[in-house]
Parts: sequence; C-alpha cells; structure tokens
Amino acid sequence: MMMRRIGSMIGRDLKASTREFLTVWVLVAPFVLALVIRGFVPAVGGAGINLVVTSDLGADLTAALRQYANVEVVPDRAALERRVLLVDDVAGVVRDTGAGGGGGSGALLVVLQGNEQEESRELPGLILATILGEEQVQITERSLGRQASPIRPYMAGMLALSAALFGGIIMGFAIIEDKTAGTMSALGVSPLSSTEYIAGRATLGMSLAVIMTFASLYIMGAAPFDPLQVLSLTVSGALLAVTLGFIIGSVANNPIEAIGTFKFGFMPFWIIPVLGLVVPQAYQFTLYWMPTYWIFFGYREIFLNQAGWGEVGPYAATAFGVSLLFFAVSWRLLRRRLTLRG
Amino acid sequence: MFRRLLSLTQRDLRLITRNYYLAIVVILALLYALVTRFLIPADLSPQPAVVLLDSTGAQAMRQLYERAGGGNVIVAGSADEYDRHLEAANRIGIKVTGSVMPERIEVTYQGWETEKTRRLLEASLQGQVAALTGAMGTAFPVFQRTVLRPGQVAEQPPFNLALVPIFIFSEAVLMGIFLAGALLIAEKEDRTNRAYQVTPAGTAEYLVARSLAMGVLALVFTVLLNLLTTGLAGNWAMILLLVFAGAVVTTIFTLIYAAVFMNLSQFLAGSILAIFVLSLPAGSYFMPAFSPVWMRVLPSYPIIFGLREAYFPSGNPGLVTTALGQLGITALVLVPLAMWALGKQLRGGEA
Repeated sequence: MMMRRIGSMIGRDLKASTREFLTVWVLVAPFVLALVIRGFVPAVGGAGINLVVTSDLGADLTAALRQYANVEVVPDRAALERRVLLVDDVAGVVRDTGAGGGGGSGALLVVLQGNEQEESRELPGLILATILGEEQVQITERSLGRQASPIRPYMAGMLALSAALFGGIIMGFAIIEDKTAGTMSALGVSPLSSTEYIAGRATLGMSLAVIMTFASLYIMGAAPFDPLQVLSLTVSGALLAVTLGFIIGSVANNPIEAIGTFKFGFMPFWIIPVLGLVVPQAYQFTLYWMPTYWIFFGYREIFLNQAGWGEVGPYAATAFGVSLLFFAVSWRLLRRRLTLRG
Repeated sequence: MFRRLLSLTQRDLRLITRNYYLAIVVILALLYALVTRFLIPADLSPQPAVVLLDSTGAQAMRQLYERAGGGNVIVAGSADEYDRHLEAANRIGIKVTGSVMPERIEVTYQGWETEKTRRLLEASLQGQVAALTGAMGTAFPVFQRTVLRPGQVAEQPPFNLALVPIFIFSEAVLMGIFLAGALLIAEKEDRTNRAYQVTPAGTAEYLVARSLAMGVLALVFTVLLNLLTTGLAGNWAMILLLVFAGAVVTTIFTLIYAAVFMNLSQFLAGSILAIFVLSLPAGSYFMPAFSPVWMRVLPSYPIIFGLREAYFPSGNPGLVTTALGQLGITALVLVPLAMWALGKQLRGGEA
C-alpha cells in the first residue's frame, strides 16, 4: 500500500513535468552542458600558440607556419599590430618594410605586445628558424597510444557531479513549489505520510541524478568506462545531491531563500574537487570530510587511470559512508521541517 | 521619480536582507577569503611533465635541463627508469643519443597530443640543440623582435591571489543571474507583480531599482573579499566600477530571461547553464593563448581580462575600458528587450 502511494506521487510528478515544455527543458539542460563540454575539451587540448601574419608574407611560409600554430592573416602591418594588442596572446610575423612601408631590410620580424607568456615570446622565433634554417638534430617520434585528452577525465568527473546535483536541486525546488503552491497542504489531507513523501521525493531525485549522470557522460564522450564502477560512485553523488535538495526544500520557504541555500550547498560541489587538485598533499586531510572529494577522485581513477576495483572500491565505499553520514545528520531536520500535517 | 526609484531599491534590498541573502553573501565572501588565504597555495609548482634520458658523452642536454630547473623535468638514469617514469599519464619522453653532442632525439608522446603541439616541441628541441652546438645565429637563424608596449609586463601574481578575479566574476558580477531571477519569480508566485500595476512606478524604474540593488550587493561581496585577500592592492576604483557595471548588465539579462519562466526549477536549469558558459573564458585567463573565436565573442571574455588588469595592473588600462565599453554596448542592446519583457510581466500580469 505504502509503495503504491509513493509510486502514485512519483507518477503525478512525472506526468505534471512532461505536460510543460519548460519543465522538460530542466531535464535536458545537463545534456546541453555535456555537449558544451564535448566541444570545449578538444579546443583546450588543441591550444598551442597563436600567430598573426600579413598577406605579403608568402603562401609557402604561411602554410609552413600553420603546421606549428594557429595563424590569422591580415592585410597590412597596422592591422597586424592591432591584432597583437588585443587581449589574448598573439605574436605577429611580418617583413620589415620600414616606417611607412618602404626602405626596410625585408627581414622577418617577430612583433610582440610585451606582456605575453614565455611560450608566445620564444616560440615564434624558433618556429621561423626551424622552417628557414638547417636541421640541428634528427628527431623521431614514438607514441604510447593513449588517445584521450588528459583534460577529459577531469571534465567527466565534474560533469558527473554536476549532473547528479541537477537531480537533487530539481527535487529540492519541487518541494518549495509544493510549499508555495499549497500542494503540501493538499497532501496533508491525503493518506500519504511525511516519511512516504520524503521517500517518494528521494526515489525520484536519486533516479533522476543517476540517469542524468550516465546520459551526460555518454553524450560528453567519456566512454568507454566500467558502468558498475561509475554507478558505485554516482549513488553517493546522488545521495548527497538528494540530501542537499531536501535541505533546500526544508530550510527555504520561498525562491529567494532557496537560491541562498542552493549557493551554500553548491559551493562544496565544485570547490572541493578543485581544491583537491591544488592543495598540497600535507593539507589534503582538510578536505576528507566532504563526499565530493572521494567521489571526484574516484571518478578520476576510473576515467584517467582506468583503474580496477582495488583502487575504485575504497573511494566508492568512503564516498558512500560519508554521504550516508550527511544524510543521517540531516534526517532529524528533514523530519521536523518536512511535515505534511503542520 | 528619484524618490520612487530610491524607495524601490530600498524595497529590494530589504527583501534581500529579510531573506538572509545579505548574510549569505557575507558568509560566502568570508569562506572564499579563508579558502584563498589558507587552502590554495601561493605557488602552484608544476608536476613533472618531461622525462629526459641523455645517453651522449657530454651530457649537454641533461645539464641544460638541470640549469633551466623549473621542477617539471625528471632526469632518468637508465632506459628502464625512463620507461617506468613514462607510464604516468601526461608525460612526454625525450631520449637523446649521440657520441658526444646530441645527434638524434626520440620523442615519446602519450598519443593524444595534436600535430601542432608535436611540431612546436620539435622546433623547441632544434633551438636547444642549436644553442648547445653554437649554431644559433648562423645555421639556425635568430629573428629580431619588436615589442609594441615595452612597459607592459606579464608578472604572475601568487596563484591563490590570481584566483580572486575569477571568484569576483563568478560570485559578484554574476550575482544577479540567480538572485534577480529568484526575486522576479517570487513576485510571480505571490502575485506582487499585480500589486505593482496599481502603483505609479514604471517599468524603467523597476528595472533600474533591481539592477542597483544587485550592484550594491555585488559591491558588498567584492569589498569584503578584496579586503581579506588582495587588501588595498590593485586599482580599487576600476575593480568596483567593473563589478558594479557587470552586475547591472547580468541583472538586466536575467530579468529578460526569467520573465519567460513560471517557477524556480525551470529558471535554475538555464541559469546554471548560462553561468557555466559565461565562466568558460576563465580557461583563457590562465592560458591567454587559448582564445578560440567563439570564446572571444562571449560577453564575459573582456570582463574577466578587465578584472585581471584592474587587480594586477600590467600597464594596459585599455583592457578595463574595453570591458566597460563592451558592458555599455551590451546594456544598450538589452535594455529595450528587458523593458519589453518586464512591461508584459508588470503591466500585462504575465510574461
């Protein structure tokens, strides 16, 4: 009977969601995010140096430069200098034709703004020398055959966390809508108990979180990965996201308070993994209290190192334990604040 | 009119304070300051990225890399050690052979590096060998450089403080993206927008008051975080001007967008996406050479670089004026749209 009531509440939510196009958009948003990341990762991986050249440099030299750098072609030196002075790091390559375009030596010049990073300062000259000078040493290549960009595993970990968060947040905001629209009071006179309400909301939130995480990862191109390993961490992410959703739903009484609570809860989701990457090893223990630390580094083991259960298992177990602790600590607050009958 | 505007702004600020949002802004600023000062290191030493095995008699390459230092080179003593170090992800191997000086170099890549990255490394290696053999300037030509702004320097601030402009951008400049929309949706839900119809205040006053309130809140966050992290350094006037203008423009953008949505979940999904996309230029902030065209057209791109210049002046104040100019143009485009969307919302009852 209890299961039927929970199922019927989930069914009502899903029916109400699919009726409105805009709510469907909420469910599609993480996938759009995954597509943006899919486009972003190769762009970062391909980042090298930027050159701008004048059109009189010659087709052969311009084509040779394109093998080393991103090359833009502009009509004259004035345009080249304008481009060099823009915000990003771009070095110019131009023939010295002297002031006003006549009387120069005709030699090649590297034009810099003055605030470029070292590689943008040093490499243009070395590229020109390699193209136009003599070979100094014979260079051969060997590849280890690893095709995935090193940025991709980190982006996949962040995306998986964000997708889980979406599920929890949607659930939290649905609770606030239940409060403000009076649905909560209507449910109060139905046979549904507060525990069943929480269970129904948690089931929907966790399912959404897990589905969104897997779909986002496949759309982003994080595959191949072991789905069971990913699931072992995603369950913890979903549990944490649902806990955050419940806290938002129980603490906040209107959209403004909801946004405020969300900002607090959102911060550890992204800042703990980032801190985990930059904080010195000796201080890493200061981050252990947060499940996102274990979840993110567990994902890193899967996506970066293709690690086995021996490495992923401890991360998954710790993440689940800490997430469960978060939920247990929040339980009293939820039971007190999320009551259907006053 | 001015009194009405003032009263509307005060109403928004009261609403924000009553809902603990001001407290949240203050606590967030303190948290960011704590993280910046005590958790994020000032020096982010690079992880070893190059594994070098020099088998030549003179060991000239090894000495060159050791002199250059930098902490991102592992010098291997044997072929076994070289292979073992290369097993770690994200490393490149350089194996140098020759009787006395380098004659052949085998570069081992991970496999994901682009063709351009490989060619760049080759050019760099050719240059290093030319410097060692004395061919630099003869068989390996040297090209003259012209520096357009010799006074400008690319001084790197400590890593933790370099993050402050990014925190300010994401929390202060983008303040309105969440909050302005939440206020509008709260008004829809409790039908305050209908009550607004019988007041003498117009749509323009509503828009200006809401933008001012968000701007003030953004300044509170900025002043607090600055005082606790960068202190009195940087160009405060330009920082505050950029933050205020940025918060106003993002608020106008949000009010157009939020008018479409009926509840918070619908609004939030798009907001998170918007924040993610607008934050992408943070990648260029740390790698200025990473600037694809699609990134440069994002409105947040000049703001982030303007903030960097205001915090850590490099002698290029044009970056700040460019950002302010771009914000002005964006506001000119957005204001009529916002007036239309809010007009429907406030005067017509629904968007």
